[in-house]
Amino acid sequence: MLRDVTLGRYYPARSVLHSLDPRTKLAGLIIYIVTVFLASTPVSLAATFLALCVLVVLSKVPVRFMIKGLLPVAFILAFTAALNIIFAVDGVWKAILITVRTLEVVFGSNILTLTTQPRAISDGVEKGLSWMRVFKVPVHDMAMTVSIAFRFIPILADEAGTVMDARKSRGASFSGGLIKKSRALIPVVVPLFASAFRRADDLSVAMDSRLYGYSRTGGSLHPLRYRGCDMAAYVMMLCYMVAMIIMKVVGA
Amino acid sequence: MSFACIEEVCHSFGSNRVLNAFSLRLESGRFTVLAGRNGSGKTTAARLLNALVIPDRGSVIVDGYDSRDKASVFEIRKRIGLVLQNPENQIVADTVEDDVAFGPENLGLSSDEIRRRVDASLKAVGLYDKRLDNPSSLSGGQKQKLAIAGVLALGPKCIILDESLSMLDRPSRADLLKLIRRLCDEDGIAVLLITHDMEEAAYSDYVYVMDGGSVVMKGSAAEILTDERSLHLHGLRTPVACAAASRLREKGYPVPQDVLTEEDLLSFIGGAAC
Repeated sequence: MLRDVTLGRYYPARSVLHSLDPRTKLAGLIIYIVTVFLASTPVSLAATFLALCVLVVLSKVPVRFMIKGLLPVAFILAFTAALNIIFAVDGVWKAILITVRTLEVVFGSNILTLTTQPRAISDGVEKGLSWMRVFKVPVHDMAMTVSIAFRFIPILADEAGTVMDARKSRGASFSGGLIKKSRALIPVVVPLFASAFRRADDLSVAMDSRLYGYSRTGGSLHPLRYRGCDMAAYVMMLCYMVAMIIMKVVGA
Repeated sequence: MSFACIEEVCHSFGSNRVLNAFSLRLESGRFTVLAGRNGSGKTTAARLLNALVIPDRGSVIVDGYDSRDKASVFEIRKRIGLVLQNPENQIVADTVEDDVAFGPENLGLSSDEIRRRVDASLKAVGLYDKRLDNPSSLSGGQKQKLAIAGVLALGPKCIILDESLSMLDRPSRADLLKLIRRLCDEDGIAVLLITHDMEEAAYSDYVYVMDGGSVVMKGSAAEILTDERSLHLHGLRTPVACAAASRLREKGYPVPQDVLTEEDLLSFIGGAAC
């Protein structure tokens, strides 16, 4: 199941979303997340869901591929929903609200990573936050960290799958109750951490030897440039955000 | 004058002395091998040359720059590229060309110059057609070529390969050894290959053998690889072709001393049969 994690994986395709500048998509994701948390009525929640459906269609990423990637978080969602239904006042609505919001945020983030190469996300974060350099914020390092984290998600997920397979081949079982499952995962987590540290050490040596941290004042292989479709996307995002704010104000 | 020079270096990690009066010289256009058993200090030696480790005693001079001087570190790393054992852990980007561009971007070059260097490096290692692929789709040998292209794009005068061929199959290894030879002969790059496999050393010009943190043997590949007893003493095995040539010589066949590889041996046998 860990191998099915889609967060951090890039899905190559020719779509409008793939061709947008990463800064446009990052701004879009932020706007989308804000509107998801603004939505507190069935109508506004349906509007955010509709927006998500439009994005999924525009991305040209198969829906089945995205849903498969959600399976690892399904348990957490079900658990949270159950807690709300049992303990919260107006529990069913709250359970629906939290589940839909979480799904929308995860799906929205997934669309960003599936349609944008990690390096482009890093470049987008760096350019978009470049004004923070005035306050001595290490924007480039932060962007690089995000990019490498995304790159290593599928690698570590694959490795976790391999460790689990190795343990299964020696008789370990990952089925059963929650406590049994958690216990069975401990011997998987320990070698996974050891391997992650080893990889991190190698990577830092490789980056140091390729002069990381010495200069970022020059050019880039893919310099970021806004195009007409980015401007159109910003206009649409603005309209969508205004509509959601109006819905919030009028209580729709 | 040598391009890089390690002089009488001593280095410890905590109480563990890993290098003891260790000396080594790298010449431009020469393919040098540093061989030794596991734990003999080879990797620390590689990191000394890239200024990733600063020696406790002794000096490391690269193209006139002393690694103890902090201001020299940039110049040293610009001149010496390091390729590690596992190529997977060296990849920082999600397309082949972006990964190669990582070094030139850190040099602060213009976009056009970065593009020129990326294309030239990918062509040099034969990966230009795969420039838009995800590195995870490459074979082990291709990933290691990608790592080499990544350091070539920095325009180095020396490349250190730290056990970089050990995870590869025979055809990929042969392919990379040919590439190394070409880099030395045509581009005048000094190559240092760190290995415990003496089959790889057979393709080199000069061999250092280290044990217990010091150099215990040095000389041309023919001198070192034909000294079976000494190699065995330091936990290394002479290449199969070399051992076979030695047995043939003992039986009175006039096999030349420079028969070190399987190709050399096959060509000698072929010549003798004619």
